[in-house]
Amino acid sequence: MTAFIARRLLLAIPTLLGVTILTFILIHIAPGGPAAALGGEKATAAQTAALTHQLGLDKPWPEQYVLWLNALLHGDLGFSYLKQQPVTTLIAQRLPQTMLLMGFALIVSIAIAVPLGVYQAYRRNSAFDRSASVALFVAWSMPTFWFGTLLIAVFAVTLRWLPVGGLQSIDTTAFDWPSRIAHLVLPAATLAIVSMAGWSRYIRGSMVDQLREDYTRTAIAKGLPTRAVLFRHTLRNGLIPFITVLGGTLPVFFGGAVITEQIFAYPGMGQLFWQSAINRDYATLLGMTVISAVLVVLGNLLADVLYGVVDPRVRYD
Amino acid sequence: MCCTAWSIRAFAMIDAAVALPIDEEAQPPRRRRAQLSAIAAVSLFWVLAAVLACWIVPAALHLNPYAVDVAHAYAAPQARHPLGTDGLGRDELTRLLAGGRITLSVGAIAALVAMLIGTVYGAISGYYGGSIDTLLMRVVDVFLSIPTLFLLLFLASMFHGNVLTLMIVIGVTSWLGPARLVRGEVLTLKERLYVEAARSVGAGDRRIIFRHVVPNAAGTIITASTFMIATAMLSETALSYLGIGIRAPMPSWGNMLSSAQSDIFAGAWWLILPPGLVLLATTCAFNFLGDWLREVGERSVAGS
Amino acid sequence: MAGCGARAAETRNTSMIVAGWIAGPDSFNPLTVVGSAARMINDQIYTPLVDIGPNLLPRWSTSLAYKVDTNDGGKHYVLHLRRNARWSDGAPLTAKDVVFSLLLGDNPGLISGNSSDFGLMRTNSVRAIDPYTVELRLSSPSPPFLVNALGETLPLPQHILGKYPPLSQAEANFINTNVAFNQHPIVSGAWRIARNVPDSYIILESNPRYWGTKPYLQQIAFRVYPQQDSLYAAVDAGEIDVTDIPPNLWRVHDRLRGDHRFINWPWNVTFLLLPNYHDPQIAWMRDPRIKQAMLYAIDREFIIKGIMSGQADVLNGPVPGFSPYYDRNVRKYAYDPARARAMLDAAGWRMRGGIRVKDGKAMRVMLKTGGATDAVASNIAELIQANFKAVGIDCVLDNEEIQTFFEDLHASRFQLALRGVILLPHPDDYKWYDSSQTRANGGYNYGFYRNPQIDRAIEAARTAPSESSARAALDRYQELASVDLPVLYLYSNRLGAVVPATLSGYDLDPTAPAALPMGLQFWQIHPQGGRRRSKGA
Repeated sequence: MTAFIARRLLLAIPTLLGVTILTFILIHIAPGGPAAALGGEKATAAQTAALTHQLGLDKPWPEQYVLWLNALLHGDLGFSYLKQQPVTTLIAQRLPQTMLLMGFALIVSIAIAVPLGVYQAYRRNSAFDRSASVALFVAWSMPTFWFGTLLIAVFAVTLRWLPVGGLQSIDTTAFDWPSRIAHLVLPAATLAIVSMAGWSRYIRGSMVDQLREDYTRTAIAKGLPTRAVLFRHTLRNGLIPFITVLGGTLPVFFGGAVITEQIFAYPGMGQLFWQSAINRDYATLLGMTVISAVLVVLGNLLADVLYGVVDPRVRYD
Repeated sequence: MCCTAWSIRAFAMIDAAVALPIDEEAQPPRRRRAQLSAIAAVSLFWVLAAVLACWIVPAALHLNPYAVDVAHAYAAPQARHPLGTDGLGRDELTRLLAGGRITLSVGAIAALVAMLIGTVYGAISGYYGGSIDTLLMRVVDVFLSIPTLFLLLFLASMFHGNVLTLMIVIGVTSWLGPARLVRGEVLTLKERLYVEAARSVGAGDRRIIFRHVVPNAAGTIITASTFMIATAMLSETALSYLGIGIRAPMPSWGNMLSSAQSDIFAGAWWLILPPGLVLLATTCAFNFLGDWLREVGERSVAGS
Repeated sequence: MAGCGARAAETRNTSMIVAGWIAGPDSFNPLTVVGSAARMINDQIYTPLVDIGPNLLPRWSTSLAYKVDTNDGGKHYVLHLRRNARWSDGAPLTAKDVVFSLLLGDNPGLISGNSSDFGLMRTNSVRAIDPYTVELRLSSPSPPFLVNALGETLPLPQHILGKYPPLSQAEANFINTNVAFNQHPIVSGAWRIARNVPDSYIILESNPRYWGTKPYLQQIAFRVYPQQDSLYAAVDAGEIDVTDIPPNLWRVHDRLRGDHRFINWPWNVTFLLLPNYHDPQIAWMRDPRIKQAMLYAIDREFIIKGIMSGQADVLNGPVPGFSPYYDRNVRKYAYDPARARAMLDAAGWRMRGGIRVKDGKAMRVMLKTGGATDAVASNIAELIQANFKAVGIDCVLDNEEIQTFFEDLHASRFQLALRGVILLPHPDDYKWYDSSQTRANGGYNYGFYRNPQIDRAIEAARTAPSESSARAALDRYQELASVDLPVLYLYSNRLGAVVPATLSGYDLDPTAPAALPMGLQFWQIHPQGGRRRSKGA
């Protein structure tokens, strides 16, 4: 088991390095730069040059990369002159918010997708299955911002059941769960509607496969009631590959959803990324991408390990 | 539980990371064909009708989507303007057709770019296997760790420009899924006899890959392409919403939707419903078609 | 909010007014700030050296300097400071803070566009005569100096931010990255920061150490909604009470639920078309007659009515109509496409296949805007394109994303640019149109405009020894500019905002940094319905 984990960990390192190099290159081939963006119209050429020098942007790329990587390994992701904070602070502020939103959306999504997918598999090719599939395809094809604005128009403006945006009510400083949840419902619903469609299809397929397996046939032939077979055996086995699918959603989990966060005024990673991108705030862009990527790699590692724990067959490849 | 399912073989699951919907097992051909092709037929009809309408009608009727007429701004649907006019008095129906041309083109070409890069990449990786495969897939892992929208936003805001750059940008950020998919297919097909046969005859690697292996994966490739068109269209919509996709005054379903958001408050429903519904219908149509194509593909595999 | 209609979905503290905007403040140090929200907040939490009122003249009742003497033909200033001003940590606000702040502004190491604003002044010396008196000497008289330079200055605490300038690079960097101060400042104004959640909301509360009249309201909150539509929805849902309404939403303000009042007032931002005189492709635009014809061809009234819902005013020259310095005798250009065509014909440009041609050259221009995310700008550009086409000028549009647009503008990569210009309270176009003020020399003359007559007129206006001679010189400049047309003047914007019907006391300030009504310390809620405070102090 330890050998398995160690092997996987070792394989993750080149990926991480690759991510940092790729992001670094991408950001530095973008035209314009933070000096121009920050100084704005009123900065003279001399001020822009001084700023460029101050930010270390006139050094050769490899040198900048090594300096940056070195700082990264010491926990210093640089300073965002746009937001006037260290990048680490910015990410520390926003990452938990995004994870909360994504986690909530994930829970909502799974809560709907699993029963739906299982029931579709159980009653496959029935009228329900077919009409549900059509509805799910429609949900899957919807642009997020359209749906999000619709939700706001109906639930926030017309009915006034839920707020338009923000993290929680501004009256309290403490973390106020009821208010938080009220503010999470609409953005999570917007995110969940699309992902739920994909997952219920996945679960359906996975469950159908399990129902094909020999052990299921045997159990039913032995006389066990179908429902018991369904829930006690096939469901558990059918959900195992689900872990890999979740791994695939990690980038969005840590990176945030730009459009949804914009619409619902939710200050998470996605919103920060968008601000940094349009204002060419290199330090923040680089820092955010690296942190997200590191978390994704670690998350996938965890998924691999989990998979190895529940399915011993994979440990020895 | 449907009892006739026992005798049919299940189709292999498509790689999960691509997040394509996993298909179910095939039913006896007779019943399934009748059930599915209704939706598929409607979808196909819609796509063809959309393509015809967007390409032929504006040219045939000499319609100009840029004709400004401020005196008749925000006119509700009427005889002269079947879908009303927008804030500058331009005919909404004309813009819808012209915009459809742009959005469909972007979707198709971006999908083509993505599939081309992905197929070549995946085929090479799968065929050669070993350390080449590991290296190539590691590069894919690196790209996959970065949220796609990050890459997309970044490249789109950097290479601001015309429709062509947008197509390439969307294509270049979408090839990862197809690459994995094709690689998986190639790995399976590699073991087939005809590859052994071709190799024994002395055919070069490239010839084997592109003349024998890839065409046999054609079914999967075509299916994935269809889904990719829908995804690319939605990407264009998202980018236009953020202001870095298709820019005004050129219409696209994406930027028509986004500029119409504020027109809801004016009660101009004719500016937001048609582009939204048409976009939804078209992406759905492509998704249904892709699903049907996969059914067809699996049926032919089952039959072989 | 007593008279504010149905409750919003979340609980509201009904004694607090909530304003909304699309971006929040990033820093509370005026020297490191680039955003409009930060500028507005800083105006509330710091006492201005010279406060400029809504009539664009000094308002001494809210200024740190209660009196300013000018001597020596306008070259010598003596500022008398109030003695009861304090910082929120208890230290007194004295002349050394003022001198520190004035000199800091000139330092090139500071990351802030604002630092150049401080450098607008041409000082020979700044010094504190005594703890409450500051003396400045200029090399030449400068009528704009009081309002444009001193009026922009927000004194900062010298005992916190370090030693006297000039700063070394390291010392400047200390100010730039001093997160402790920049996020949690020591303040001196009517308000202080009660709570700040970056990119989410900020709550200002009355500052107990403020030297002047305490605000009527205890607290005012500002919430961030990055998407314009969500901001509008938030007003509709009762989540926020005050926000600015952009021109494309003005026609629908009456659909808002709840008890709101829609206000609009002139804004010192003017929109114009800036030609790049260095581009050989559009050399034909160097001829003033051609530019005059182009201006006759543009239906500015239609732009204002059709796109701005009537909430803008035609601009007839470098100074907008609401300014006390506006000269009525400038040349005006009413919409007259027939006259435009006649003038172009007379200049030798013949119509050929819909485009004017002369000596084998077609009259073609590319119009660049920052309209990728700005529907108003892109719509205006399209209207102008149509207007030009009607008289035979072929105009191609290029709507860019705003940051890219600014980069291209500053690098002079454009032929004709549709842009907004923030005017100074006391008109001074030196940095915009003086031929020496190219970007390389620290100016904003991106179009490389060159006209010695205009140079002399601008110089005369900004060095006039008395107020009356300054006015006369400004009149001369406006009249010259309206004929030679360094730029094509389009319109001067108005700001629109929505406030609760029960709110009163706000100032409609043309220099409002965040497009919201100002005078926060005078805001009051009247359950029976409020009225605006009268103009002037």
